[in-house]
Amino acid sequence: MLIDEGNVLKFGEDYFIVFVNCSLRMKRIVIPECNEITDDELQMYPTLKNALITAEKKGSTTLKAPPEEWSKTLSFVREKGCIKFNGSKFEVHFMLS
Amino acid sequence: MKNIMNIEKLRSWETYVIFLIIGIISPPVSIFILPNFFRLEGMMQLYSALAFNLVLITLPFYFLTHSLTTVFKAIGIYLPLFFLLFLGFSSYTFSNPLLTFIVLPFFMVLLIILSRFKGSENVTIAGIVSLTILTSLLVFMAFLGYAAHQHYTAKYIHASKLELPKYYANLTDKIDEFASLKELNFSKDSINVEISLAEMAELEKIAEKYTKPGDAFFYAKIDGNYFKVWLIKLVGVEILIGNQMNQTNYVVVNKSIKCCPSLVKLMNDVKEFKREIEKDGAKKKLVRHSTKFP
Repeated sequence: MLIDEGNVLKFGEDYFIVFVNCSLRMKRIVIPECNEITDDELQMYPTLKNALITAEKKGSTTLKAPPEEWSKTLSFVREKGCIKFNGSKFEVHFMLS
Repeated sequence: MKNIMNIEKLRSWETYVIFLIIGIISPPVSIFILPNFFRLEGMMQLYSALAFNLVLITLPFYFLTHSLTTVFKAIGIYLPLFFLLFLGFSSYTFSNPLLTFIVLPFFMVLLIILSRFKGSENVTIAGIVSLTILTSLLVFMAFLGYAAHQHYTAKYIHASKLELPKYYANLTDKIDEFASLKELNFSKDSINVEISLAEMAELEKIAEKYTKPGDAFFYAKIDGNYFKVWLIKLVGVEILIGNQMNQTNYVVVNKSIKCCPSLVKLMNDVKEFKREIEKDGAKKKLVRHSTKFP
């Protein structure tokens, strides 16, 4: 194995000594408390509703939204934060091209 | 007599349609075809559309009139209009929307109208040239408007279900085997800890089993808590100089070695640093460099 601590490598006319540093990074998965929203509340946000239904089945999804609805939904989600719908919890993000 | 025939040919509706079509096709050619061969961005696409337009219009001018003088007159009228458009758009000179979008188009429309009523050859040529430039400008702006609309409407909502991982490595019972990990407080949200090479090798075996293809992390469960875990390995090299070079036990690394391109790049970078330091006359004995290893 080339990449081992202390190995000496000859590369062209030069000699190199190898040193290795290993570390572990861990991030705890915390599922926050979410605000429950109803089907009726989602009537005004059809793309968000579709996104939640698809994410429920697939785990995650990204859908294109009309600009007006996108802005309206952004305000709604900012107000609600984490969303609970149909018994599942969701995180919603907004993207621009 | 020949001059009168030329004017009549140029003033026919068919001629105007030909130049209108040339004006229409130039922007798409510049936007979709020419960038495959040249680096064209932003307003350079409009300038190249107009340059392509200029090349195209010389052909019907020549074939309709068989007169090089007419072609040169057309070029002579085209270039100042082109230059004025360039001035209007160019941020290097004076970007003036009034010139680009009001004065110049108004002037060109005036030339087109005059060319229909005046019998002069020069005015007819100016009108035809204005028609093709104005058409190209409008078509280009239409593409620009469409792109802006596409950009404006490109808004997305991303939803992801929050759930605990279903596929994870349960390290609760194994954690005591790792000296660097057993004393850690796993109720913290974020943990960064240095581990030994042997521990890394053990964890890599676990990661291999629990990492999904394409991911750089795996999930682990420790004492009822779930974690996203990344293993980070930094590999560095130190160039040996002077007496340090009297090594007997070494591995020869071929320049074309395929296994470790990062290692080869690393060593090349260190060599380069060494050369730079030597050139600058710095008296440094060691040159070190490290990189994150996949």
